[in-house]
Amino acid sequence: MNTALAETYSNFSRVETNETFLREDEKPIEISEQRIRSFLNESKESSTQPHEEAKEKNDSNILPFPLKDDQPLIALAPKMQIQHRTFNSSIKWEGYVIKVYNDSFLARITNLSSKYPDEEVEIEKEAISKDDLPLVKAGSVFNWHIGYETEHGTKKQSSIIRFRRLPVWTKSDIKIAEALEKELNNFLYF
Amino acid sequence: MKQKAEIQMADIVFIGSFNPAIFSPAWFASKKLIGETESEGSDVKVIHPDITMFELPWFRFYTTRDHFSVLSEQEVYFSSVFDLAVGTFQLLEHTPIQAMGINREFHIQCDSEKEWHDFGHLLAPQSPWEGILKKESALKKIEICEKYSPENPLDGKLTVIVQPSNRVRFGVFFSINDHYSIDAQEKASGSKKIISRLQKKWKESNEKSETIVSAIIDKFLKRS
Repeated sequence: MNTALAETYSNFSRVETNETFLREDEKPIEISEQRIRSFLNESKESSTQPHEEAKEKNDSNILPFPLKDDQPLIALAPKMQIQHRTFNSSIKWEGYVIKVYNDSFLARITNLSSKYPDEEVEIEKEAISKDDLPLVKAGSVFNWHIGYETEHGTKKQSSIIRFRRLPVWTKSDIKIAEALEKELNNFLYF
Repeated sequence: MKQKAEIQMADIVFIGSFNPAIFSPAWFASKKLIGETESEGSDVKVIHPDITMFELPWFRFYTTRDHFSVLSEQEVYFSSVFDLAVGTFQLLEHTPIQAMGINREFHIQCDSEKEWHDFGHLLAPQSPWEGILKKESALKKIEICEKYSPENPLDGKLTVIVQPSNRVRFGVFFSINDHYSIDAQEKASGSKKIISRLQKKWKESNEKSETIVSAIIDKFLKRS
């Protein structure tokens, strides 16, 4: 069976569910499985004919399927694989940077897994990914999770610090903020 | 049965009109929504005017002309999924978006095959099927949704699906879809309305999904 026919067979499931195909003139038509099967039989015989010629031969309600191996009917999207790396968090903190030193930074962290009071910790910059280092600034928010990383069945304890890339301020946001500031100033110093 | 999920997933889906070809890892990196190194190490499946798909170690991105999705299976990055979705459409604020789904998935491990079946029987009791089916019945899939109230469209519509997990042996799979949509007039405003709804609902929706799963497991564990 050539590629085009194989692709066409894969469309049977759509036909069986009575889904409607749309032609170029956007007039909905229903194609029965029997009609496609008869079309396929004809196509097998005429698979060497040029596309346009074959199209004319077919029933008007049948979509013009490409008939050559190098003209697939549809391109199937690549499948997304199941991710083999998962991370299960055991302890979760959310924190923000208070002060940045040369090799470390001081942060206040809140335990999200239990109701312990907030803590201040000093974290070495070595623990931060290269991509996140430019984000280490006073006020930056981050998530710190300790848990188990599983990859292809192998489990290991792991700690991940991820800085938030919080939504950017657009020009219109800044304009609105400036207008509000002006309004507030006028109100306060009236 | 464990209270904690073996595998979790958070996914933000938008329905609207998108231009898939612009969404490349390099574009996200240039807008500082992901790191440069992350962008270079991404696994690009396809970038095309009709569809774009790529993966980073912590998230998967998929978009077609009418569908935009970003998801992660690592809890520490769930906030990053939110940042990426919001950041993208704060930059592309004129993109028409009409609906949004905040989706969570959980694969929960049962302690035994018996417990796995018992959990299914709690959600779908066997008694109505006794005498109708020749053999013992088992739950294959159940879908429950909260009644949608048109008076409060901002509350969204929640659907919970429970079925056997295909990733965890004797596991239960929960899929929770929190769906929000906006009317045609709001859609004309681009993505602002839906993004603002995402910002308001993200935390609440995630907490709600986690509570649903833990509450139903609690109910199962406390059954007499």
